[in-house]
Amino acid sequence: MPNRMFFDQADYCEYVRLLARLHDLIADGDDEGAEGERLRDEMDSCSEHFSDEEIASLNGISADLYSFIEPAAMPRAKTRQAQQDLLQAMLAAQSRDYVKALDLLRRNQAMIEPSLLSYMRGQIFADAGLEVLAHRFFEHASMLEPSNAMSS
Amino acid sequence: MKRDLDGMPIVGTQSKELGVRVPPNDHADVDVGYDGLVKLDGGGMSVASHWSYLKPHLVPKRLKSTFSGAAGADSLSIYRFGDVAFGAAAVNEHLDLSLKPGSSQHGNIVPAVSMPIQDFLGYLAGTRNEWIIEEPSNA
Repeated sequence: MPNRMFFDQADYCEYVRLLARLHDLIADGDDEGAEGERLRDEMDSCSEHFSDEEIASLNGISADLYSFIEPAAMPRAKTRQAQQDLLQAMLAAQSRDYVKALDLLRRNQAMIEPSLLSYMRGQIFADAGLEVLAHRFFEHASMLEPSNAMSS
Repeated sequence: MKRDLDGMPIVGTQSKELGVRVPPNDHADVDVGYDGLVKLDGGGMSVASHWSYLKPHLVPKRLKSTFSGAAGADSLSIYRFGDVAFGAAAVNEHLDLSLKPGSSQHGNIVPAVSMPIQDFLGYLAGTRNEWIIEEPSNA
């Protein structure tokens, strides 16, 4: 299955939603209790038939979600390759290959200003139809750079 | 899997235990017929060829520095089953490894032949001492 199709799968999107809720519990230090166990049981069930590629992409998204609780680092200067990758990420998102777009951002995250990185991730999840997750990334972007806060 | 006090996996019928969840559990791993026999439809105890192929909610958070998406409970450990090569083959005389459709890295440990659910659980439990903790270094 092409990467672009992952976000068209109900089970894949459900896993991403559950993963985001699990990360909320991790952020609050509450994930080792009954609610964390329940969420992980649901994640077991909806991911029973995931392909190797889907699982790899979800591991990447889980790493992305840790950006909410990890300190934002000063970005390094962008290399030419990183600039090309960012362009490719935007093109991938436009063609609905959201997994590729997220992966390109992840590979170059050390060279992207953290608020911009969160904004771009939010835009990708919004385009993919995961509005709640998108909102979380937009909020994070606004928290990191209040001058970019969106009105709502 | 959940780690017992002796370091071996906990045997049971809850998630992430050495065993399978059985009906009427909403998340049952196997189907059991009216005759009490496990249906040979590929259902069984889920395994992967290597820790790097696990889903994020199954990898303990304490391993995050080497597995950046790790979001599993820290009460879990990652186990390797002896020195058996990963592939569709017999695990022992009672159990087989069946690869999941579309995957070369994920499979289920299933009954080798049709058998009562209690026998299947017993054979899985019988492998307890063959599981060895194998986790990435977390330096």
